[in-house]
Parts: sequence; structure tokens; C-alpha cells
Amino acid sequence: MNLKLFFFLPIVLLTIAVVSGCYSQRELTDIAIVTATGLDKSEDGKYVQSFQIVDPGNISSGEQAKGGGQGPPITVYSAKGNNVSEINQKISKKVSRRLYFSHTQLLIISEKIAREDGLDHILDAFERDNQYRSTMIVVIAKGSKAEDFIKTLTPIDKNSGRKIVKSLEITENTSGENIKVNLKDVIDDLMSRGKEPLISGVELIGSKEKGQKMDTLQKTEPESLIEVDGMALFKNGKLVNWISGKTCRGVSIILKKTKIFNVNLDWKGKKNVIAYQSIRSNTDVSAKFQNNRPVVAIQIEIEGRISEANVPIDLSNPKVLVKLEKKIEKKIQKEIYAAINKAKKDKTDVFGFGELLYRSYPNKWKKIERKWNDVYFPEVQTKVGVNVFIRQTGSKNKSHMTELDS
Amino acid sequence: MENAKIDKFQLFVLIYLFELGSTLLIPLGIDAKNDAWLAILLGMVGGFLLLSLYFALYQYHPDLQLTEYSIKILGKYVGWVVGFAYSVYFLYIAARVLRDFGDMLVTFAYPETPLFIINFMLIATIMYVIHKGIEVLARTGEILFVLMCLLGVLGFILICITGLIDFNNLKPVLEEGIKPVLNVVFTETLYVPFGETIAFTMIFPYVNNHKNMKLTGYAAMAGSGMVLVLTMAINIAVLGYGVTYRSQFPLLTTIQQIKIGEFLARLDIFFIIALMIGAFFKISIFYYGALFGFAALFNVKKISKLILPLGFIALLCSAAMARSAQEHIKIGLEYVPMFLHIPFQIIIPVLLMMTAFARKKFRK
Repeated sequence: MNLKLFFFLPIVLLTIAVVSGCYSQRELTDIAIVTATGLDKSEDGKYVQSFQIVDPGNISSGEQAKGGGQGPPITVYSAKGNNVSEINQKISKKVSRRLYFSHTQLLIISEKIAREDGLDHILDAFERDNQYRSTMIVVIAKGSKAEDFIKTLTPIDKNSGRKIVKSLEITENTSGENIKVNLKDVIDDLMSRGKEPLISGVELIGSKEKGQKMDTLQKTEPESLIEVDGMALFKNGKLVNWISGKTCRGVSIILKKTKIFNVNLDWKGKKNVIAYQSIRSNTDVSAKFQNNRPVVAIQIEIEGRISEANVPIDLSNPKVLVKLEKKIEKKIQKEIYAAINKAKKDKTDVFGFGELLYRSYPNKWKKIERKWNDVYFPEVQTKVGVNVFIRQTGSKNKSHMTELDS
Repeated sequence: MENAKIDKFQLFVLIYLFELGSTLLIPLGIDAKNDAWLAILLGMVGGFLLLSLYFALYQYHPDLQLTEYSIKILGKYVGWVVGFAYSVYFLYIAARVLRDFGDMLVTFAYPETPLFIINFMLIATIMYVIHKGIEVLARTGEILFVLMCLLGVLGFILICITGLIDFNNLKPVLEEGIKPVLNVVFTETLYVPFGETIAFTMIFPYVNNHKNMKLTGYAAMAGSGMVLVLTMAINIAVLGYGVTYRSQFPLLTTIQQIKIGEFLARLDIFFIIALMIGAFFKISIFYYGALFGFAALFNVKKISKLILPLGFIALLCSAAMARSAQEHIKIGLEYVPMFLHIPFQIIIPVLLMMTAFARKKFRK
């Protein structure tokens, strides 16, 4: 018994001492929480990474605003280096705390890097590091430097990283003109030969210098505004072209990313007088080989309601609704074809048609895999079928102009 | 052998947690690409054959452990050497799993903590529970089994709710035919984790009710095997083959994708708990096998005398066996199955079986 005690007491004591665990503890006051990070390229070919750090004392809002400080809610530091890890080392000279990346929601990549170097050479550090999340959202800074977006102050949502992520989320859900793509999706698409990445863009409107001062938050209309806009088409990891507006929506519908969107209709010679809003939609894409040529069939089902009618029209008549349905179908079909043709023109398969072929015909796919984007994808035959239903007409049936008209 | 008894459910729980062990977390059989889950499934079918072999061996000497009946079957000298080899094998695999465990934690959770410290803490816990005996280990298993099931079910529901699963990622099935899949089965999934049940030849004699014991064993293997198959299928369905293949721990990456609303995310802790429980039981069983193997061979009456030395050997081995995590994995994939798993899980048991069978016939 004594011998047992002799052996086990030290182990138990040591375990208690070690397991209670403050091995590499860090106090909250020793870490700087990075909410967004941006990558730029300097003129001498090095990378410049900027970090948006939350200043917790100044971020409180609403009722607690009295307790909050007067300074800006975010602070931005940046450093230059040959790669992401080197920049991380250098930044410690400027920041008093250790950077902490587990809450980084957004990675902004400048258009210059995306166009010239491509994404292949920069993403590994973010994927390999165990602090960064693979659910971090990726966007491309359209036109200007990524750093400018990181520095811009935004009203309501105090830090611009959060603002961009939320804007993307809401636009994806309500119009489909932008999509939210995370790091894992991007790398997944980069690796696949049958699908190319598609990343949303952000644009800075107004004066970038004024947007970085606290004064901008004192105004009801901020001096500069960050807008999510357009999508970047990639090919072989490099940005080749931008698409915007309705083309984006077509792409989102094919990718099943959006459910709710508006369609404007003409009625009796008057343009854009009726608005249709979809409530739910479903897209079914299938690909097959016909006479050794790839054929893609896209079937879209949309349900929705009339949200606006600015002409005398009798919406209580089901026959009128069927007529409208046909019009919407044609319009959406046109949009889808336009989106596909745009991608075909840039010779990049952002829809993943190639991946579909690979899944059903792995052997045939192998033969065309290497030439897919350049030779086969632009030649793909597509059939688009759209089925639209108008389920409701809102809280009114006839337009208030109907009575006057008749 | 210690004087202890465990019941059938406890055996079930031990086999179940042992099988899940560290294999739940690694990209098991990923060389079969999209068909990794199929490779695990076929490995399980082979695992049933191996388990029935171990049961058959056990039935010749229902009261003895492997290291004891190897002497009965092969004689004093050859049998002793075989028993010794098995004890060393168990100890080595215990050290390997310990290293797996340490490497995983260092990689994703404690980058600045030395491997040795992490391994020490786990082996210290294991030494303590083994000191308390197999009954305590079995009862611990019962409690943690419930926790593990809850985690599994909850994790599965959350993944489904987040809408991450895309079954298209599993296609095409059998892209290059069945051959690469079988290749993976016979070099990997058959032995880890299914063939590793050889360690339970040291546990079987403790089961208090031998009736239906086989059925319990098969049920545990089928249950845990299906969990492994399902997990790998979900990993591939969520992440796609590419990300799964490059991930050191695909299950962790899958769990990190979970996001429900703005509040339920970053459930990495699920992974850590599963890792702790699984590694704890896997190492415990192997360590137990090694301990009682050596005790029987060297006639050590007081087991506690052996617990510390063997524990420290396992600890030192785990730290010294490979230069890097990658080297450790490479050894585990290329050499261990060939030179350790095949002889110890298949060849020697078959030879023992044949000798035992011949002896019985010859005596009559």
C-alpha cells in the first residue's frame, strides 16, 4: 500500500498541477482581435497585409454609448512582406498586442493581386493556420486597394468587415446579385477542373480619405460608402472579368444561391410597370453527353407574387396571371442565357457544368478535362426551361386604376 | 490476469469506443478517393472475419489471455516468444496512438505546448485508470459512451440543419473500378481499426457471461464501423474529396463548417472531446494488453510494479518514434501494416488456430 502511494501520489500531484492548464494562456488584454484583413501588392512586388482590429472600448453602441470612448471603433495596422507569415512577424513591431485571427470574418483581396498573381499563391497561409477559419468570407476589392476598405468607417455596423459580410448575405438572399463565398469554397473551386471560382466584389463610393475619419460618422450621409457590387470571374486562379447586375442574378439562379428576386414586366406598351417577386425557387441542372458532345439542361421552378402593378390590370383574372407567368418565364430564360453566354465568352466554367459531367461520366471526362474551359465549355449546348407560378397578388387584387380605366 | 468481471454491455462499449478511437478523426482510407467510405465498409466486412478468428481462438481457452494460451498452444519456449512479441506489439501500438493524439492536439489546439507534456498528461490518466483495474475502465466507458453518442447525434443534426451535405460530392462511385478500393482495404482499413480488436483477446476472459458474447462483439464492430462509414461519407459530402484529402483532420474541418444563425458556430470542442474519449480508450486497451502480457510472461504478481515503467516506456516511445507528424503518419501507412499488423493480426492468429486445432485432433 505504501509503495502504491509512493508511486501514485507524485503522478496525481503532477497531473493536478499540469492539467489545470495555463500552459500558453493569453489574457484578453494581450490579444488584438482582427475582424477583417486585406491583401494588397506594393510597387516592388511584395505583399501588403492590413489588419482591422476592434477597439473594444469604442465599439459599444446604443444604450451603452455613454460608456464608449470617442475614438474610432476600429484601428488598422499594415505591414509589407514577402508572404503572409513574414507580415505577421513584422506587425508585432507596430501593434502592442498579439494578433488573434479566430474572429476574422473577411478576407479582402485587391483586384491587382487577383488579376496578376492569381489566388493560388496567397491562400495557403489562411487555410493552414489554425486560427483562421475556413468559413471566412472572401471578396475582391474592385478598382481600389483592399486597405481602403479595411480603413473605411461605416455607420450602423461599426466595422466595415462585418458590414461587408452582412451586405453580402442579405443581397445574396434578396436579389442574387452577389453571392457569399467562403475560403473553403474558393479553394475547392480552385482545385477542381470542372468549376472555376466566382467571388463577389466590393466597391468604394465617395472620398476614401474622408471615409477614414470619425467625422464621417457624425453625418447622416457618410462621406464614403462601401457597396458590394458585381462578381469576379476567375480562370486558372486569375481574375479575368467582372459581371454585374442581371448577369450576376442569372449566375446565382443557376448556382441555386438565391431564392428571392424581382422581375420587372412591361404591360401594353408601358415599360417596367409590373413587378414580380419570387418567394422560392429551385434549380435543377443536369449534364450529359449527346453524340459525344456535352449537353446541359437547366430546369428552374419559381413561385412568387405580384408586388407592384402601376397599370390598370385585372389581376383577379387567372388568365391574366398565366399571361404574366409566360412573360416572366421568357425574361428569366433570357437572363440565364445571357449569364451562360457571358461565361462562355470568357471561357471559364463558373457554373460547375464540368463537375457535373465528371460525376456522371468520369471516364469520358478524363479525356476532355484539360481542354474543358477553352474548347468544350464554350461549345456546350444548353437548354433552359423555366416554370413560373404567380401564387398571390399581394393584399389587393385589381389595381386602383382599373375602375377608372373601364 | 486480475480478478475482475465485466458484463456484455461493458464489452460492447469498450469495443465500440476502441474502434472509434483515433480513427474517427483521421482521413481513414482516403486513398480510395470518393470511395473512402466504401473502403471502410469493406474493411469492416473483413474485420468480422478477423474477429471471428479471435473468438475461435479464445474458445479453445476461455479462461486465458492471448499471451497465456500462446504458451499452452505453442509450448514453453516458442509460445513465450510469441507472447512476448504480442506484448511488445501492444505497447508499441499504444505508443503510436498516444503520438497520434499528441500530434493532433499540437496541430490544431495547443501549438505552443510540447508534445511530451500533452502525451504525459494522457498516459498519466491512463496509468491511473489501469491501476484501478479493468472494471473501472469499463464503467468509465459506460459513462463516456453516452456522452459520445450524444455528441455524435447532436453533431449530425447540426450538420444536417446547416444544410452542408451535398451528396453529389460522393459521385462518381467507383471511378476507377473496385481495384483501388480493395487496395486500400488490404493495406489500411482492414487492420486499422478493425483488425486491432486483437487486443481484446486480452479482455475476453473477463466477460462474466460467455453466452452471446460473440454477438456482442459483432454488434459493437458493426455499430462503430457504421459510424466510421457514415462519418467519412459526411466528410466527403460536406467538404468534397479535395479538401478532405488535404485535411489532417477532416472531421474537424467538417465541424468547423457548422453555422446556425449567428450564434451556433465554432464547435471545435466536439472534436476535442471525441478525440480525448477515443484516444483514451484505445490507448488504455492496448496498454492493458501489454501490461498483462508482460506480467504473465515474467510472473509479476503485483501489477502496480509494472504500470509506471511501461507507461514511461510508452511515453518515451511516443515522443521519440518519429521526427515529425508527417513521418509518423508515413510509417503508420507504409511499414506498420506490412510488418506489424499483417503478422500479428492475421498470420500468427491463423497459425495458433491451426496448431490448436491440430493438437485437439491429435489428442483424440
